[in-house]
Amino acid sequence: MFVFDQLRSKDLPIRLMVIFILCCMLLLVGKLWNLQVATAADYRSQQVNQSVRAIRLPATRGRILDRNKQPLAVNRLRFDVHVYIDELRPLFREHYFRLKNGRKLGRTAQRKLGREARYQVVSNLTMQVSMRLGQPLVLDPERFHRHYHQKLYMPLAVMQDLSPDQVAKFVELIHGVPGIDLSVNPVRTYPNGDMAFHTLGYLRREDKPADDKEVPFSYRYRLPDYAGIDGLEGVFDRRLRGEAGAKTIRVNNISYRTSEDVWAWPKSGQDIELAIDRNIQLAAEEALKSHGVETRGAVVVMDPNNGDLLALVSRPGFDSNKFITGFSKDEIAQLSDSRLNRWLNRAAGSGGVAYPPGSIFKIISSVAYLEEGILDPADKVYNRGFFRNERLYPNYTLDDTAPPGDYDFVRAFKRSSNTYFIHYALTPDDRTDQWQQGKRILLDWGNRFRLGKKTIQPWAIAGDELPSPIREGEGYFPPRGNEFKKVDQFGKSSRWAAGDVANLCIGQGEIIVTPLQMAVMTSAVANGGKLMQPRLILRVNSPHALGQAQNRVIPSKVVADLDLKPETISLLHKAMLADVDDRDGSGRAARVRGMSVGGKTGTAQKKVPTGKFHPRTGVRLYRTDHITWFVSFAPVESPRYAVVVMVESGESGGTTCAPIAGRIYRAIQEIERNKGKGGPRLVTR
Amino acid sequence: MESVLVHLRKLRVDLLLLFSLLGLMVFGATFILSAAMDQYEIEPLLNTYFFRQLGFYAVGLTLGLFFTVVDYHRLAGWARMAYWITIILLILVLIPGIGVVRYGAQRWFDLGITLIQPSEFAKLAFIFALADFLTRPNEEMLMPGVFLKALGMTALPFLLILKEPDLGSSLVFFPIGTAMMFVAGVPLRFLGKFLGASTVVVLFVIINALYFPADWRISLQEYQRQRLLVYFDKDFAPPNATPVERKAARELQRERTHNIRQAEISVGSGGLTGKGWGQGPQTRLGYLPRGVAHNDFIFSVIAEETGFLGSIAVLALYTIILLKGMQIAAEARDRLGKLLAVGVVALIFCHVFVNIGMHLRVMPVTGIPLPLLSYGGSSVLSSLIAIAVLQNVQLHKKSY
Repeated sequence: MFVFDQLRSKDLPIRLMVIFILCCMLLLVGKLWNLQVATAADYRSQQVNQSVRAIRLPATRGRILDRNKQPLAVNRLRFDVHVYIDELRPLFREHYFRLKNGRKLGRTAQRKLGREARYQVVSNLTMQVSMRLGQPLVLDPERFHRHYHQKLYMPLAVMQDLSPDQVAKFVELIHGVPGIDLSVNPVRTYPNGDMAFHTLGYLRREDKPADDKEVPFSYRYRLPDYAGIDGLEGVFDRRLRGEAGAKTIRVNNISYRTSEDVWAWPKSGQDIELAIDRNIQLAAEEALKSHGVETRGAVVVMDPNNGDLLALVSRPGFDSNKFITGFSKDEIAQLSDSRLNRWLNRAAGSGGVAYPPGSIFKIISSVAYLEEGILDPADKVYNRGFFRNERLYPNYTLDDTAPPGDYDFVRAFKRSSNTYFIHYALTPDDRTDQWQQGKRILLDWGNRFRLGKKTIQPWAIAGDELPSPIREGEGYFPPRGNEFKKVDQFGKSSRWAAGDVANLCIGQGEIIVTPLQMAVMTSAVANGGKLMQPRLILRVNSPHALGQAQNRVIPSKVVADLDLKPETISLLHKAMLADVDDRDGSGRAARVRGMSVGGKTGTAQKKVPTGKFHPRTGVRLYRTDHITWFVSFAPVESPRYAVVVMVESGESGGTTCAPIAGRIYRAIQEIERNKGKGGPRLVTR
Repeated sequence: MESVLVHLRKLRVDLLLLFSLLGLMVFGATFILSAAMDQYEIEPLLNTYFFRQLGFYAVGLTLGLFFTVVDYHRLAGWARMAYWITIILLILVLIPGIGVVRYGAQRWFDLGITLIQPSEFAKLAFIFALADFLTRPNEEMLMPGVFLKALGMTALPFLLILKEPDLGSSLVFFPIGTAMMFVAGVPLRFLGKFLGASTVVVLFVIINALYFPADWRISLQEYQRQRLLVYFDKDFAPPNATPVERKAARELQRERTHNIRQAEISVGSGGLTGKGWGQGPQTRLGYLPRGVAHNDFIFSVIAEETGFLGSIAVLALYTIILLKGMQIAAEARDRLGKLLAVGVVALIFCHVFVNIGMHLRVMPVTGIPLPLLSYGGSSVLSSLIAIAVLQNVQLHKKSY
């Protein structure tokens, strides 16, 4: 062949030249092989990197519904006006040449003019669109240029959250204008405002998540996503949020979008159905508000038979919607008000908040005395108007709000006589000092009622760990055989004394509880001695398997059976009914026509620092605040509702909380009547 | 068809050469179309690079026919005159108002329908003139005067083109001149000295540009210095730069490296078989700058869309033409023919090696077009005429 002929050419210079040319060509071939075959993958990934942008697509958040599938936290559609800058390029060009007007320009001047032309086109478009929608807007040049340089491949949102009226106008007047379109995104909304704020929680916009390992590469851009921070939104964030999807946008050299490819659609989050009845919750919130808008308090409504939490109220709350739409100055001040402390879940005792129970603890004292057989309900104890035993406890006196006279069990219970209950704690036989026995019995029964422990334990169903849906506090109750009292506010820890036992049996001193714990206690008395685990969540539904096996039903759970004697139960029922029904009962304000309510009032004293100090000794000064309670259940003959009301700084359990409970029962009666009629049900997503 | 081939054979036209030529032109037209596809939407059809390139091919082939048929001895008679005419044109192009400035260099005449780049034709005229000059008895080759004269003939257009500035095109004159002198029999001691001296100069220029502080630099154009910095992968910022200067230098470096980086990505990402015609994202999405994709960087487009196989095919076509040219040189009936053929081969080889080498980072970035593939009238015409001269030498080898 002619190639080899040349290599054998007799002409030396020609031969050398041929060899040189062939060597050079071989060098190019080798280099080509290296680039295009050996390291091609490397270049290919460089090429993908520079021309493809990955966008994270957040999934639609699962709904939170009440027991009747009424919406508590759902998603509404938010309409934004988006400008697709890539579609405006011809207009940019046209406007650029119009502005240039045949002039000769240097390179920097050209660049500047191009920038100006782009801004003017988009700005004019924004102006026209916003005028037609009745909300004239000027596009911020800074914002436009920043968007243009950083995420040109993304549409620019020029108007956000259109009203339904504006959406209609858009469809009618603007639809079809090139480069401009409506974007529809689901946004979290809480249709009931601040109702059940602490139970539902709130969301916070999330820009940099902790785990970005959902995809093998990092996102260039994240569409706004929200993370649940508190309450159910926080605890079940992973289930509610679903799985984010992703799309890739192919861009050209100046980042204009050229094509899009969704390679993973987002998977919607799971719906959660609560035991809460929206109507009862709303009624309970209203009832608490009736005492004053700034009432600090809590209500728990529980079904004593299965532990269902029909309402879980802590006030004051806050509108969860504001965490998405933003706060006004006023609202920021509201959130940082330390006196009202809206963040506290007073019902569950989040953040360690708990309260002395006061006289409602007499229910546990009664159970203890009756079960241990040291109290005969027919025996009478004389009350002098205060408790005092000069012989045995010369230094101890305690006032009694009940008037002087002879008290049997029911009278002592309904008038809430301290003397009567302290008598059985310290000197049941009236002669000898038996406070050690009283202490043992009280601590034993307090612990049987699981005071000082969370009412809900995390548990596993079918291998799936289910966390407690409520961030709960545990309060405090001394363990059995406790020798030393808890360190008090003066930093001192001392041995138990008779006075401490006397205090404990009327719910003062070494005890703080949460309204949720009291609801469990009240339910146990109501249902014959079973400690129920409060149930907030009924089902967790997977959105793709409508009514199928993936829907997880949370069963109700008996934590412990107290094995109470039927006589104890019936006696307590009788006493609690008397507390509400009798003319001289302390909880008479909770009486409801057509429903037999059994209850117990409580007014606990709590020392609150005033923030001042004694001028000479420098000791912190305290004032006495009242924690008022009313625990109850109804109907007494077959209990279906246990209602616990707690109000901070109230007047007394009977005057502050009992009327609130009465309102709640009346509302429940109303709701039950309507349910019989089968009112309309609204399901929205 | 059969009869056409017979006629061509009768004309003693080399079919291998012809088909290689046609193959390259098909490649050129196809990928210029791909490189500038967007043009269809905005420009009138006849104004697109594709159609204009077809026009250039047609004109080039016609001119080529003339340069094939007329005996090269007769053509050589005009060589001296052609050489000086091109020298005058190279001077004229430097005069503001006559020459047209594009991309910061004054290299073109504006003929209305097209721009024309005299340096492309100067190379041809130079080959003819030098071949004519070196066609003398062997004894004269030994005289230093002849060597110096030949060197002068090379240096003159070199200096003028350097002034435009167009370092790449101007430097091409030296390898062409050296190859022709080498084949003509100029003693190796002359050539060796010359090559040694040039190597020293080139090394000095490079080292000067790369390492010397600003005050000590000889007058290399700043863009040329930057290209050298890019080629040797050197930091743009001087070592004692302030952070602000350093940042500006980084920015500039990114900008200056952009073309070649994108070209490299285009070639590399093409892979073995390429992404298919019109499918290369580098070209489609404009990462390979549109201003150069159809001319100096056309090889990127081909490499991206046809992959290693297509690139090799292009290299093979060039190699056929080059080796055929060497064969023609070896079989030429006289020194004039031999030198013409060698000159043409050296010219094409330099363009191919420098241009493709630039894509593969074997050579620094220069504005040298790829013969027949790159868009551009002057380049296409001069390349076709050059190959026609090869054919001419072959055609007339037995006419005595």
